[in-house]
Amino acid sequence: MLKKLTNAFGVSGFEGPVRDLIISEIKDYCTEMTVDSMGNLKVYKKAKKQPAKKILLSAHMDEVGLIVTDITDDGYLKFASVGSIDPRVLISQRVTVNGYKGIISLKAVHLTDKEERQKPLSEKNLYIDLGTKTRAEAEGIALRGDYVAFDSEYVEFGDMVKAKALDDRLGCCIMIDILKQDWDVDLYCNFTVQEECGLRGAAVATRGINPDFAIVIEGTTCNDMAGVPEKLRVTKSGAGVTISVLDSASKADCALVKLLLSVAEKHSVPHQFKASTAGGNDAGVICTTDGGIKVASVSVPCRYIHSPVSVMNKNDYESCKKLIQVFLTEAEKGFDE
Amino acid sequence: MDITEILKDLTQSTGISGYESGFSEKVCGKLKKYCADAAVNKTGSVTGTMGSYNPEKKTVLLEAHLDRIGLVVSEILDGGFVKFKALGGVDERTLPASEVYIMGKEETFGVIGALPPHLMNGKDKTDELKISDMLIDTGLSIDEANTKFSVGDPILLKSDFTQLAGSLVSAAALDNRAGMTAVFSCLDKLSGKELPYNVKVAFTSGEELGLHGARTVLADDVPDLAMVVDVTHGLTPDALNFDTFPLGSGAIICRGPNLDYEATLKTISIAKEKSIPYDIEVAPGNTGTNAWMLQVSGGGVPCVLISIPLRYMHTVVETIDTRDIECVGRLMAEMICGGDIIA
Repeated sequence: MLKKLTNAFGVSGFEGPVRDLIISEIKDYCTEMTVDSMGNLKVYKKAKKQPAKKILLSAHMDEVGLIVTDITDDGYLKFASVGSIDPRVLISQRVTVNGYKGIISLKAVHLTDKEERQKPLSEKNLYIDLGTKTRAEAEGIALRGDYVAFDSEYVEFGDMVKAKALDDRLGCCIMIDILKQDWDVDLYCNFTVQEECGLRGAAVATRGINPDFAIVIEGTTCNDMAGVPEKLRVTKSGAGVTISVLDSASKADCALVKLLLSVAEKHSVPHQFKASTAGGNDAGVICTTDGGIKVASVSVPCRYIHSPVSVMNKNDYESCKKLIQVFLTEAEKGFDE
Repeated sequence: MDITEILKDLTQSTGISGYESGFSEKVCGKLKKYCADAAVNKTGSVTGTMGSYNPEKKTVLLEAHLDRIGLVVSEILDGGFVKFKALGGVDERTLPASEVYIMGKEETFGVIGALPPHLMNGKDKTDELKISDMLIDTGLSIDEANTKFSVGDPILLKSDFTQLAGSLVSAAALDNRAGMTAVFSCLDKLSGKELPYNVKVAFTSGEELGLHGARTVLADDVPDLAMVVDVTHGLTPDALNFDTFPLGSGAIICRGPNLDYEATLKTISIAKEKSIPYDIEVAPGNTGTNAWMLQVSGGGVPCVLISIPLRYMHTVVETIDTRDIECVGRLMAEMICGGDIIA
């Protein structure tokens, strides 16, 4: 399922293919399912018995990508990033636009001088080559405003998975599995849009639910490569699900973090804290919705996030799913309070 | 002959400079179809002669290098991370977020990582990315990594063969698998014909490391004319149009001191006469191709250099127009059949 989800096209603002895939997977497992005006997929699954705690899970469907900004007379596409992408990872990548293949590159290094090579690159220097020779030919493939995604296949190697869009199809995939089980909580699952361009979808999708707790399931930064000092590693791949206390968009609810920690310890779920406040996610807008919601983020560490080759450890994914499962189990029992 | 099929097969094969073993044998197998005596020499170059050699006739050599650029394992670190060096002129700006296969005892997948934008400070955003700072992530422990590959093993840059609009295709190693395909295309056109010259073929190893294979491929057996086929820079929006050639220009014929003056003029007139699309490129000295080495082999070899325009040289998205390969193959076949290319 994660393979299908990461291979699907879903740049922020064009999440339809991912949403359709999720709907086909979960339609038999929910009480109510709605798609709102922004494209958020909101799913409700009623508890087996009442009264029950109300829990919101949230993961975003969109991925970082590109959007066509102009078409040149000689048939190349100019583009801008949707979400934050280092232009240096784009050089010599393959991309897809409306089902057609294109490549992003630069003139050969032989044709550059030293000064040119040292000049920092911006996306303004880059272009997409579709093989078309004229503006008219290129316009037959893409219009200005069309979305472009990385062309990077899902690959498993060792304990790892390489794919585009692990951030945050892994969260979507976990929610799909959770929805396939029955729970004694009133479960709300929001598959949101446009996280990567400013937490836009969750701001709308969360309204009116008023859950007891909300948990955002994410892919997060991981910088644990050989040679990186311990303090700069943020998270460690293979060390378990990551619990965030504070990031640039929100501070997690202390009581909820304590609950997550205690259920993780009780059920022996490998876990770690995120050791950086860099980055923000949908929790940033969920926490201020409807007079305030208690929210926390649990994440799977992803190396090279926001590139065509993000890499995660399958065991961390399993730990993340397990933590959500045991949290819901404990919520059914009212957390033994 | 289906040019795209041959090109796909050749570009999806390994044959990294200095590690051609395996690929050379494969190429030799393909060449046997045209040259019964095809063989691999001690340094991985492949040679053969079409039909039976006639000492009364002069000899033309068709030459294209068979190696491709790549990387090599230089150190295996904790966490299965691999430090590496370049084999040939790899464009290091293009390496972040690349996928690779380490060709050790076992073929091992890996990716070349990149710092995420979230964690960059101002300097990280503008620093030149150096190969010496990059790592391949194999997802293995150091112990597992050591059982699968070792320092000195070559690394293949992964690249899918991609069909673009029209007759354009993109893949790694089109430099010079496109040139090899042009040679095969020429052989196909000559096949079964009575020819005015002996036709020899050399697919040469180690070009990207400094024209190594071309130094040894002829031994003492020098031809009367060598037709060297390689790639040249294609026009891109960020390049100067007097430096480069639009894809679809046809055969690019090079002039300059590295190349035989008369044979090159004759090549141009044949292209004109046979209505084969062509353009002229000028190299005031070293052409950077095997012609540079072959010209001074043995007692000296007159060379012509015919190139295929290619965008994004030395990246995994090298791009060509397959029609240009056909033009080069046809031009060489006409030169041989005409019988007056050698003075």
